[in-house]
Amino acid sequence: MKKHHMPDMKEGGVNVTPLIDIIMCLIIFFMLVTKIGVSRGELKALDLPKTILGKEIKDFGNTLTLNVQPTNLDEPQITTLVDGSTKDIKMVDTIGGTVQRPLLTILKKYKETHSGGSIIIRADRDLTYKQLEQVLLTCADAEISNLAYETKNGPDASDAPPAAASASAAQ
Amino acid sequence: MKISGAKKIHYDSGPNMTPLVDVVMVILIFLMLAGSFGGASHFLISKQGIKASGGHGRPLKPGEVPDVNLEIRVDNSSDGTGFVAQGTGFQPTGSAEKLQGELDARRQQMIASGTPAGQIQVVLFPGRYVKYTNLIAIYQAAMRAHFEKIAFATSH
Repeated sequence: MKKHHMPDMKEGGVNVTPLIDIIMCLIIFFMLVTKIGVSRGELKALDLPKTILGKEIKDFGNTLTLNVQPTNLDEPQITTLVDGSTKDIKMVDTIGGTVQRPLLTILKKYKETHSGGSIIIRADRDLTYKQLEQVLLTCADAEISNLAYETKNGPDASDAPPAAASASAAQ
Repeated sequence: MKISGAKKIHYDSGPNMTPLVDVVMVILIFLMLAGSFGGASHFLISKQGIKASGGHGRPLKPGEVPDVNLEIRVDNSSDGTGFVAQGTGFQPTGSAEKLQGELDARRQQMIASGTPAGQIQVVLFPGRYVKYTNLIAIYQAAMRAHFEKIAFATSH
């Protein structure tokens, strides 16, 4: 009678195929999500207000982002992308004895080169209207009325139901 | 006498994947570090800008019908953390939810009285020390009440 032998086992080490499958999926995900080398000069440190509503802007090519931070002075601290680098821009500055408005100059120049462009206001949640108003008025002086107020996606404290809001106020 | 060496073990494991895994891991780590995973941003779009007195801010074109303004005055609440919003035809409120309801009702009234919905403009008159986060909450309440035109007015 012929004997049946078990097939020889082939020792192939650890099977890395599932690992590579998962890693490839992750790489493709990150490649789609990540925007490398694209900056619009936004300050990450700003604490933006949160909203549920709002639109997404897919193409930032025709926008100029103004980061507006509160200060103890009359005017806010404004930073924006100028010639590829993020710079502090003053509302009013005295250069060589003459009073100039650097922000207005930048906005007017932007308006000339970007017809139909919009300004993204990226302001800190604690900014007072006294300081925000100066930025809005400068936009109006530059005859730019297309504005977009940037917020974070999510419910704010003021969106809480009245009962929860009053409970937290009582504490 | 012939001494035979140890029998060579043959591993049938296909191509060597180690360099591929190394490179792929480096790419993965780079992309993870380069990517940003903050909450997605939203943008509240406005084409109204700021109005010196709540009006158009520019001369009307021939035949242009002026917008009907729905003015909302905004101040800080007494404890300084919230806001108080008041306007013609509704009680002062510090709740964005209530404000939305009031604005919605006012909008329905104005439409019922013959004002086209597209010509109603909400104009916010904030006090100088009202915080931006409260203004955005009010702005959002107006958006939720289906107003298309929302503008800020100067505080003085």
